[in-house]
Amino acid sequence: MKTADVISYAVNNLRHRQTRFWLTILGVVIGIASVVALLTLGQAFNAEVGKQLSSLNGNTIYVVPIAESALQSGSFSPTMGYSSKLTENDAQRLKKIPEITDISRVIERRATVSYKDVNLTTTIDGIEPAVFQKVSSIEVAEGRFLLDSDHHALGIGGTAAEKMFGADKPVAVNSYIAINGVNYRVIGILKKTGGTFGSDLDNGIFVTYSDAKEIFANSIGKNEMDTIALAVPEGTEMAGVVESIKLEMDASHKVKPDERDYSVIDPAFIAQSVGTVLGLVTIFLGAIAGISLIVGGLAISTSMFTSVIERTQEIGVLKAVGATSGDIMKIFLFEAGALGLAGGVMGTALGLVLVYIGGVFGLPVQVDFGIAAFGVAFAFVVGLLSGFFPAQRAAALSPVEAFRYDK
Amino acid sequence: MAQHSKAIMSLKGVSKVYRMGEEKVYALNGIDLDIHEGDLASVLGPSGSGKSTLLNMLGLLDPPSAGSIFLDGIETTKLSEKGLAAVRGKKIGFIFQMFNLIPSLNVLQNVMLPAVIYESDPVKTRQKAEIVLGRIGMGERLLHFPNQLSGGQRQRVAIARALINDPEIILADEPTGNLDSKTGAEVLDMFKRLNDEGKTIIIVTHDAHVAKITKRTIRVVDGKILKE
Repeated sequence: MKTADVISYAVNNLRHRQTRFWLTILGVVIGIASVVALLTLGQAFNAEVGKQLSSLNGNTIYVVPIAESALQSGSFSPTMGYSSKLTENDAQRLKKIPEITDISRVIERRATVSYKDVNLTTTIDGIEPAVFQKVSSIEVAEGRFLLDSDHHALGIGGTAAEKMFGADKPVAVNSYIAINGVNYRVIGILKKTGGTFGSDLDNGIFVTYSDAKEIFANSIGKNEMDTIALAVPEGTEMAGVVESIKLEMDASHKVKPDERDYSVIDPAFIAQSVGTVLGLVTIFLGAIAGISLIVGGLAISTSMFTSVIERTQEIGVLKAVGATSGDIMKIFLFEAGALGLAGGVMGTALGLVLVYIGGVFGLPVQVDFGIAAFGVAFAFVVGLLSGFFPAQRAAALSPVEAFRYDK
Repeated sequence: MAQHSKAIMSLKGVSKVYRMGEEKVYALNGIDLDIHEGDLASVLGPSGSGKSTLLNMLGLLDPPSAGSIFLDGIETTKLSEKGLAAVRGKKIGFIFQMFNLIPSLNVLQNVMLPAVIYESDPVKTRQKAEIVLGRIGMGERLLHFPNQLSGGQRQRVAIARALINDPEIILADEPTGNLDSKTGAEVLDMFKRLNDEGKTIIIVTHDAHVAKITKRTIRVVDGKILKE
């Protein structure tokens, strides 16, 4: 039997069973629609994150008092607290590394803040304003940024100013926020960056390093800090600097490389961590879509098995009049493949409509024809795979079946 | 009955054994049978006689457990599944009790099916199908589907389908079993006419009336052929 005739026979049969046809492909339509929509979403997410990562300051390296092993294995969680302390001694040693142009000590701890009778606990960042401005891309929306000489003054992130104390109580410049009961004057409100990663400027409350020392006098030693941010000039070879930092820190903390009680976080490390997370997200999305496709495939399988049973006599007749097992196999495989293909085309169309609607409602998604083509091709393959066992069963039927009268 | 024309189909020592648990059941037991060119034969026997098994052997649908089957000089028992399918499609025309038209194909497509499977020239096949259908009075209904036809019409389409590849033998299984007596008689007349034109026809039946119109009656009892 010629392939063209096999195809026309299979298509003809599908046309004759339209109700079943639509019911069967519904699963694939939904499955492929979700694959297309989720892949597009995943891609948009990736692109968005990539954009934000590139807006991070690429020339800043952070040293944090978290054991390297915990951070690298991902077992660190913010509730665990710090595994060691960073000291003035560390900072002084790091200053000696020639490539490092600026060094900014940071205290980052939680305190109670009050504004217009609203009390809450939030993170306060104690920074060295002059250097901090160099290592973070800070822009001010209202007022001015902190100066090293400021006392009992704070800067607040754009989002925090808007929402932290309730949407009806936005923070205004020159008003006062109490930190652990001491009034701080709001000296500047930062421009929103829209960023999700890094130092999270949008949600922060910033005070000077010396004020932070005062606020957290009970919990942090005189010579201690939580993070050291180090700036290097544009184009510096990062790996070498990171090595130098580790050498100094190992000596200062008197630790061997495999028992480091601190971590060095450079842009490459952040990109790598984010990449890992994104990979997991993509796999997760893929798994969800995969499950719905498996269900769609099972629907095709079930329908094809039913079809083989119903058409036992027809298969017998085909064989009696000369069709080989191979012909029968091809007919049923093609029917299943066509079911998958039809489901794929419609599912992809539906998925693209969902993506388009998502775009209208502001999701940063874009119709990707690569994903669309993949959706259609994948559905075809799912159809073929689902049809394999039913087709095999059909091909194995004996031509004698044509003569069995009792149905 | 003496036959002087050559045998186009020969069964030599054909047996078919089925296993029922530990027991061996002989559906056919060492059958010898020659079908001659121009035969109009009926295979007659009660149910359980081995008649259906003989039909399967004659139609090359099921291989025998022992013995050989020759069709047009070919020892079919030595053919592969593919070779067997080709011989079946080209040399045997089947007519079934349930008509067994393909419901998704129209009259013309049903008739053309064996030729399409055999990969014959599509233009010639179509012409031939139209001629055959015209001859049996179905020329006006080429695009009807089987469910739009009466039983008699369906069986006529099935006969046209059996003729499309110019087979050596037409094998009909209870062809009148699902038809009223008038339509059945018409179908039998058609067989006679085809036989007059030289076609070799074997009708498997349990109906003695059908057997009356055939030139030759092959009686099957307990897996054996009674002397004609």
